[in-house]
Amino acid sequence: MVQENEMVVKRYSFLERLAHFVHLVCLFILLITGFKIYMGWDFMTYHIALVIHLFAAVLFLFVNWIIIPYNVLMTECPRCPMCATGTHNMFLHKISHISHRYLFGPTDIRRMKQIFLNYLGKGGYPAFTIYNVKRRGYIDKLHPVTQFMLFFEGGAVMFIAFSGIVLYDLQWAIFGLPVSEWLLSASEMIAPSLNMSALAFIRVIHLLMSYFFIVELIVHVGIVEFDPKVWKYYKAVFLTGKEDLSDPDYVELIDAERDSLE
Amino acid sequence: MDRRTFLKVAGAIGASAFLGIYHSDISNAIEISKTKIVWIHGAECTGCSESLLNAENPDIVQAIQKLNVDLVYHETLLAQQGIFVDGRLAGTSELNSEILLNDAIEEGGYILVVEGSIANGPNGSGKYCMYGERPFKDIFKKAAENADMILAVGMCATYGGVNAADSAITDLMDFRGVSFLKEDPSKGMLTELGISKPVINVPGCPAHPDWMLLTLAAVILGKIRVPDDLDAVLDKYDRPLVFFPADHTLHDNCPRRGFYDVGKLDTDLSGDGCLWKLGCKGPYTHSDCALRKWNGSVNMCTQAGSPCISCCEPGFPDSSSPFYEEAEDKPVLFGMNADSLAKVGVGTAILAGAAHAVRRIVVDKDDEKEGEV
Repeated sequence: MVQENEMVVKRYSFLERLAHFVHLVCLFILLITGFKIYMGWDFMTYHIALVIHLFAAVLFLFVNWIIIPYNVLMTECPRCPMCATGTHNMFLHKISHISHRYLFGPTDIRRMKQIFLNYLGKGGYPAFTIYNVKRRGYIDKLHPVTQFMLFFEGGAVMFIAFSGIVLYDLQWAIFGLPVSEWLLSASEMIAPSLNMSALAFIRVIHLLMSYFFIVELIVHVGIVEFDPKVWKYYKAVFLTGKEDLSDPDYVELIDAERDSLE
Repeated sequence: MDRRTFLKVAGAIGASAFLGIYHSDISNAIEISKTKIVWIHGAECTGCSESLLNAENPDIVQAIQKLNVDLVYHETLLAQQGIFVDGRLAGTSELNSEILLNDAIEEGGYILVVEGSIANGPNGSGKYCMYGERPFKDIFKKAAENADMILAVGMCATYGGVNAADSAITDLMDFRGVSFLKEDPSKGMLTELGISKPVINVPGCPAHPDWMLLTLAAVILGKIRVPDDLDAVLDKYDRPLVFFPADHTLHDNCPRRGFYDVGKLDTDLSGDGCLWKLGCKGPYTHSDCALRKWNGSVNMCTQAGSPCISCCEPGFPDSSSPFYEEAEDKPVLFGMNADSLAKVGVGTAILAGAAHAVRRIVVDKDDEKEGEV
């Protein structure tokens, strides 16, 4: 068996916690200032709301497009026996591991099914924190619903950013590339079928994606976090970054016995 | 007297009165003219000609005189007459405007101004818009072939306008703009006829007189060299950028913009606030209406209390209707608008979250207690 003190491991790095926090704060700021602009709430002027909105948007994108991908790429990857024998490429192994960790896949579908069955009183709630004790690394960390939402969130960030660029400046260009014009042209391929102008469609996309983030927030807090057994992760993601694997809720240890023998 | 006849009589009286007042000036202008203009009308309301007559700086007579224009043919300003005998035109060009038009087209070397959309239906015959015994489509074809360039004025001629709006008979009637059908350049009448001519589109319902006259002036005076300069001075819908700026919208310069900035968004038409929530399409409309204004630079739609209906965007009227509803209220998925989709999404998420939470917090605790026992 592994020792008790060895069971406290790092779940989130400082950069991961920082990215999560900034993402959260920016999202709230963006939603509040965005809906102030859309609804005409009178607690601040349009110009102040716009400046705050733009500042938060830049920070939000920096976190989502620079810091979070960096964190994902830096994900610790426990070497598998095949890596050790050199029978497969380490790079491919890492890609495969990252995909498994962050993309919704067959394992997550099985867990979702287990959650549903558990809801009906058949079977226990599935563990989603899978840790390989022998190789000292997480195999899986995220709740299956979070992984399900990640793909859509990535898309939503992209859509809200691109639509925001057009709304910010109808002729925004970078390095001579007329980005806004391209986006308006792309919008034109769909907008007429909805009886909208390209610009109106882009505005609707921006609004829809804002609503998506509200829905996602409710799902994230409601389904993933609104469970006393999960609250240990609040402390981990906002403060310590550590997890005590000896707390058995939603934790499954792999290779624990063999590790103790080696 | 039915409504149609009344409108014809009223239009004729208006045009006659105008001709009566300016008869000598127009005659003088025509005599010393050099640049020939042939102005033909398809399916439309003549609102753009009406708008042209309301021009003030320059007005129509000043424009004709200063620009040395030979207004060879104008469907409503010229007294219309046409006699067909046994299906053939009779008389001379002085007595029969149909012959005058034919002669002008034969002669060529003119700027063709098109007002009104061109019917292609039924089945490509163009017979849903007839002049005398000729489909307007045929008249347009001949006139376009011999023109130096084409100026399409008003929404109907530029992008199809109300004639091409969605309806049960849209496909049957098949009205086209000169070089576009709504946003689609591949369905313009010129493409349909296989004619390649430089085109400038001056949309609007109606087009602003300044937009028409200043564009004509720029072309006639060589300020815009056709076709060399067109790529630089027109947007992708062939609209002059100076009147329809690509980099901002009417909303940016709206007289009510200040109310938007402080969040005073009116919800009924009697207020003095921003009209966005009443369906104003100013934020989606590229035009200089708010700077140029109308009726002698006195007023404009939003200033007068009416939401902008985006009458110079290619998709008009479909893209901006319902006129008095926000663009965001249009259905985007499963017949639902963004707000409804959000309500469904938020409602579903709350229900799912609550159900999950109840199971995890309440029921799970009961299960644990049972296990302990």
